[in-house]
Amino acid sequence: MDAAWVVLGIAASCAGIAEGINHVLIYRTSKFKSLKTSLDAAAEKVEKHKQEPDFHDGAFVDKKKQKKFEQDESQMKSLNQELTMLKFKSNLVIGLSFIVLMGVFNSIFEGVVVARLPFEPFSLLRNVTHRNLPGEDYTECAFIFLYITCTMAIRQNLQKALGVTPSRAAAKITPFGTTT
Amino acid sequence: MAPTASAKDKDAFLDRIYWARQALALLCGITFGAFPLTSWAGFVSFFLVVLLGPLQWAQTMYKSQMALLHLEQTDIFSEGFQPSLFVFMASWILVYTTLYGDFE
Repeated sequence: MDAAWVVLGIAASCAGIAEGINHVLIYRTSKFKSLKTSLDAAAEKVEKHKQEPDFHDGAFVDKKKQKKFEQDESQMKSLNQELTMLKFKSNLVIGLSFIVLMGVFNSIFEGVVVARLPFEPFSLLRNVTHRNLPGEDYTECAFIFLYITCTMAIRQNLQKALGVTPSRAAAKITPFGTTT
Repeated sequence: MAPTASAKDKDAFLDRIYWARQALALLCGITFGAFPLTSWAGFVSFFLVVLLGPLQWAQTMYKSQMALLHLEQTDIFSEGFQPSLFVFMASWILVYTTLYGDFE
């Protein structure tokens, strides 16, 4: 029973450390702050274009307006690419560190039932939920599944609370433009 | 509210939906784990409460504001869904394990 809360503690600590590393390497830098501000402003411009009454099916009929829209969208994509590259190194460091950490935790918790699932997972999911556990009681949960669940729950909300997620307009950016 | 909705106004409104959904997911997880509500009944109840609940609330209380912000039902429906699913599952599993987990 206690093992489940230990796993939660590990997930919370790892999420906190990851965001701490991101803060030191990325978020506190003036380059990130100015890029984020510029990207949010560019995304807002594009969003305003889309709300105009003569914007239909992803384009303006008026050629001048269409050209302005395309320029603003292109600027937004370019800023987004710069921001992605800025985050890349930090994410790589964090990713590699956590691969090593996962190896350590997996060996510590090998064969240990950390939780009881309130549902029986379907067969594909059992490879994760019942990983390295003896027996066929598939409501017994292994470390990795609970860790991933807790991490996904904590980390996304932590980033949201810290205000380091992109604005929704910026989040719609793809290499091919913006989704609706 | 300004006549032309800005991305910031939209973000502010959707942030409320986001955090309401996370709070609902946590509450559902704790309640279902304690009750206990298990198996597919838990997931179905989660979808009904956490996905449809905020949508219904927004449409009832903020219909004019949604129109002003050019918000569709899908915007409300999808806002914060993925993290809320993990919040629900984590709290559901932890509470259920604490109260009913009996390992050999």
